[in-house]
Amino acid sequence: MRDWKRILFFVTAAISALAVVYVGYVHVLASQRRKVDDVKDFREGFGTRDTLPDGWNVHAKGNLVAKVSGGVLRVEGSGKAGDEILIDLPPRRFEDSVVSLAFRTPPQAGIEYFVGVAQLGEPPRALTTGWVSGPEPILHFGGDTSGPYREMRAAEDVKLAGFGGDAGAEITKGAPSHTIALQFTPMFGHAAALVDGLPVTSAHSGWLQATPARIVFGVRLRADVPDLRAEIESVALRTLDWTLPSFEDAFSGEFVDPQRYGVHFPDPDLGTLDMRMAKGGGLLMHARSTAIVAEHVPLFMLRTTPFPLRTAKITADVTIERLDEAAVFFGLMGASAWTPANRVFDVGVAKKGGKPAEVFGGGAWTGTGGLSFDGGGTIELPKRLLVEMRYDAATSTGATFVDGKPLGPPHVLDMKALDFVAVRIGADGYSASSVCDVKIHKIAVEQR
Amino acid sequence: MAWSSWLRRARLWIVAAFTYAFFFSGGDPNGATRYSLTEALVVRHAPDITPVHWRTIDKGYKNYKFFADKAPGLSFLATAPYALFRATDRVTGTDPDSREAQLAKLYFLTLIFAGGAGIGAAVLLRRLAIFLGASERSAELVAFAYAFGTIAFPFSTVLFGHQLAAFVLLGALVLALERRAAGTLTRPSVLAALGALWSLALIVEYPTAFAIAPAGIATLAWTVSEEERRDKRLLLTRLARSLGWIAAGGIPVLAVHVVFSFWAYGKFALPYVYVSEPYFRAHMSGGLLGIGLPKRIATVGTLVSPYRGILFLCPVLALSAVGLGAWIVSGKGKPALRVAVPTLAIYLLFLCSYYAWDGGGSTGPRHVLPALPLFVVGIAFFADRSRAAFLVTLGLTIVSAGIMLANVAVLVQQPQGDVFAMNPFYDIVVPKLGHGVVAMNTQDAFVPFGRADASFNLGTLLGLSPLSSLILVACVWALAYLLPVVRGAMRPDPAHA
Repeated sequence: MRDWKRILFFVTAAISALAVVYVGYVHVLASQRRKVDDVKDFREGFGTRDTLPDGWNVHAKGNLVAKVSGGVLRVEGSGKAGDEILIDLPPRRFEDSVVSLAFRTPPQAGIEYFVGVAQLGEPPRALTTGWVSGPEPILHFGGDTSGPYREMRAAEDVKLAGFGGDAGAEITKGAPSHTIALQFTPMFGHAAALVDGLPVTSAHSGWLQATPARIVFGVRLRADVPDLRAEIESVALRTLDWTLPSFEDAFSGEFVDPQRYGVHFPDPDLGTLDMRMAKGGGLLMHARSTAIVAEHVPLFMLRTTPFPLRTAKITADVTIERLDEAAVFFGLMGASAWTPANRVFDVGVAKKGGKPAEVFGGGAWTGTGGLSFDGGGTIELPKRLLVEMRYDAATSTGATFVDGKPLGPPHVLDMKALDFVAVRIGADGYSASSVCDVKIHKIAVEQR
Repeated sequence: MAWSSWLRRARLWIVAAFTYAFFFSGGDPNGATRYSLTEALVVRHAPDITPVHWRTIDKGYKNYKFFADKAPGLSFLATAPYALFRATDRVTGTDPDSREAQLAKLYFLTLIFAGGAGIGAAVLLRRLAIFLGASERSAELVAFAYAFGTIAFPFSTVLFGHQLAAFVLLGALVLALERRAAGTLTRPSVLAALGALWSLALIVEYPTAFAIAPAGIATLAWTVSEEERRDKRLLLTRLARSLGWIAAGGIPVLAVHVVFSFWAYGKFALPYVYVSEPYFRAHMSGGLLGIGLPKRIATVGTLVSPYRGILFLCPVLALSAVGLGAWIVSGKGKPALRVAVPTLAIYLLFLCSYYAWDGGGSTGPRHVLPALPLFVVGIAFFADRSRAAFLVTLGLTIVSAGIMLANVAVLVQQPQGDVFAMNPFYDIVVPKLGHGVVAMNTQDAFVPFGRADASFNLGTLLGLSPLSSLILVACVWALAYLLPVVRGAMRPDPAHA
């Protein structure tokens, strides 16, 4: 009897001790996590302020000064090349997000407005994008993009005058103010720079979700400016949602919504991509390869933020203006560590070797993870196509249609319900002379 | 004095408990699928993990639902503490799905079922070595070598089933040997307990069948007396009785698995049959659930390669061969030897024949873990042979423990790659340590992509620098093992007092 009582006491004491230690541990984790809080959406427009918000730190190089007045953050003074005002914000755990900076176009040349993110630690690792003023404005994008296993750097200066056709011209002419933004999607290992809502360049980035980091922004001089008058209108951050709601997008606005899309540019050594909003609606993508390569080169990819796959109907209205030694494809791609990006379900058009353009369906439906294809016949280019894709989550079955006609039989896909996926339109080139001109009239995603 | 004596005897598990609790090696598909099944059983009262299947690639697909593809034993056992934690969340008003609450649950389930099992296996190993006739000093050394100088250390910090299986198997062996020596092996309660333990090991890790078979056959043989051996009728009666009691203990455990299987799949089937990831499925369809003929690449990779080689990562295990020789030569513990030799042979064959011999994201060939105590126990006999042998064992133990500490500190789930080209220890672990990086596992049990805060250690969690956090662990080890030596040296010799 005494043994029975001792065992009972021991067991109940162990349960209590475990519960107490568990609660204590939750408290430790919670308190430690809050030392660097999760990132939250914000926008600071300065408004009626006369000082910077609490916790914002100003770091000055040279004789530049920053002050808040008249609803803007002014950076003034007489500066030399290399002088800088850098303002950092309290650290946060970073998630997929877009950091943006709105500023007034400066009258002088050689002024760089920049915004980005700097990881905590020594030396700080930063990734920024900046607008460099001048007769031919430049978008600078670069920094440390290293991941856990690989050290990498990105550095690129894009001449905005030559970018994006009409849109590029609009960007560089006459607008009183501009917005630059840095889009982080660690889920895709991707970072992109945008000007006035138009993606301009991107790079592979090994930055991770929940990395403790600070937003940094400011003004730096690339030339001597005796009477600097730079004005920053706002700084903002918006996190990206992983639940892509149903939508229909005719690209009739002035920008590609960074909350919904990411654009992957080709490696600058291998290809170029010009993209712009067409007058009257639609998104024009003009990509070409620029290097001597015999194998496929990713030319571009426009993809949505990741979302858990449900029963869905996905449509794209596209005009394929020109394809030379290239393929363009539209469909679904895997978008998580456990649903890899090469697990896809696409409708594509390929043209190579001087043969007519061919329509094909392609995807992972054999149960092996490998790709299989359905033939869809040849077409004459240019050609406007209405591509439709239906996915039934209950049976994992996918079916594709081109201009209302089925492209091959329905397939049981290796993509299952709730797998994280993204909708994409992309193009690959096959040679040094690959060209892909596509106009995307509309993308619609209808989920149930 | 009694306190000091207790502390000396208890220091192995105290130090192991501190060390295993110190490191949280984060999530991975294996742990995520086991955790998700536990969560499904407790929260949704369902056998499938469909709503959260995106957490892991280790899953099966059947009747439009996803299931954990691992042997479910650990997940079954984890339901009790998991339910306690959920109840505690309710009482304290904590959101059970908040990140800290989820991490804390994963941490404690890992600590109980991997860390606790690792501690238990180390303590049992010391007990077994002493029981077999090794000195206390050598037994303590090999137990330390097992706990910190082998891959038992990293796998005591992640929610895999191997350490639990190792603990249960070793427990069964120690029970059988001790009861045999005491003449009480044939008691129904003992045989039933053995049946339950073997069944539990089986439903925690199916490959433990390779270790259960020789242990079971030997145990059956041990239950037969000399008199029964001479009389066929008595022999058959005894065997039937022993088997019956073993089955009486084992069947209820196995029945839980069978019931779960019918609940999940509508019939009895192993979860691996329905594995959904195409890459895994392609391999599992070869041989018997992926086990084929021995391959050179697996043999080299498992034993000596810098990629996953157990001897490369744990040089103290190079003494396993001479340890076995010393054990045989010593003439001690012959019954245990008859279990150990075939178990080691079968496991080596299995390791060299399984398609996933490298263990996926792993430190060393993790599938060896259930049999690892038997690779280590013989080393005690070698260490007992001479002072030089002891010092060699001690030296290799220190080197192995250093390598393992570095691996655990930096990354347990080391990436897969080319067997002949990859060297995760020198390519990843050492450089990262040099740059002051620890806990770099980014796999997360709760989201299907990398996170910077997926793994950590208690030192860095509480604000220590990465280097300081490791020094703290080394200091605790030194304090536990060097301080008594120093105190002993400083104590006046009684002969001169």
